[in-house]
Amino acid sequence: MAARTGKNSKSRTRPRKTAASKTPRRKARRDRPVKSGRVEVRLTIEQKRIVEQASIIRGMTVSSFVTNSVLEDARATIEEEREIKLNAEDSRRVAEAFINPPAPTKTAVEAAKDYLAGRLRPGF
Amino acid sequence: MRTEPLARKHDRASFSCGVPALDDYLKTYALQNAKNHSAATFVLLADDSRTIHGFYSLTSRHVLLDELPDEIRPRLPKYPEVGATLIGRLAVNIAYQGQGIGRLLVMDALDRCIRAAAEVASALILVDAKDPGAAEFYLACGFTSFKGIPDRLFITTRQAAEILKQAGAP
Repeated sequence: MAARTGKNSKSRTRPRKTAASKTPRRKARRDRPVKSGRVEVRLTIEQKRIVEQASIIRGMTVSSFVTNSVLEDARATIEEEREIKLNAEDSRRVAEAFINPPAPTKTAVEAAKDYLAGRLRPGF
Repeated sequence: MRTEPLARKHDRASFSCGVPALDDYLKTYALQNAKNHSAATFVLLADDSRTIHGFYSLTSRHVLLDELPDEIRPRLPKYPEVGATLIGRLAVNIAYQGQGIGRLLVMDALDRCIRAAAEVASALILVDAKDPGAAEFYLACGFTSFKGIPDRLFITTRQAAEILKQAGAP
């Protein structure tokens, strides 16, 4: 488990369950999204012990600790995939295309005409 | 001939383009990705409205430009990040290859990218050309290859719009 530490956990600041706070919390629970999704993971005893220990430090349940950490890592992974870093040479090529866009080629205009007319022409 | 968003009623099971990874994508992941908005897949259908002649998928990306030479920098937006649309997968049914469906799909995809860019800023169109025939076609259409990313090429949305415009698109 790549446990990225969840810094944005609300649970940490949430008051502990006491008899006095029970009623308002139950009301809030009704407005929360239904959590019907499930992920099961097998861990070694040692790995599980580490997760439990970390959850205690954060003052979170194991479930919310795991959810927070995994979600944060998952979002970062998706974000990383969406980002394309160009090297200096490729950046220059892109900049060049913005500044001096080449005129459309004959092949492109011909293909676009065929597309607009719904016409097929042997080839790719 | 126009493409439409992939739907359950389309015959994904019998589609084969000769590249198992692309077939597998269409069969297993395309609908799922459309549902969770990570990639949209569009299909070109036969007259029976079920048989898939070809498909492509679009996803949004952002491109980070590296430090640019001083003479270029002032002429570009300050922020080094450029919105882009990636034509990630494009495939033609093996039974219909060689008829020009690929080029039709490419133009259809460019058309969609241009229209989408009117709503969400996207200044670049990226393509992955896994097939040498496709790569050759992209270059002939004025796409530029990336030196640092194999098989990937780009064209600006403005250039693409100019192609459609010169072909007489409204």
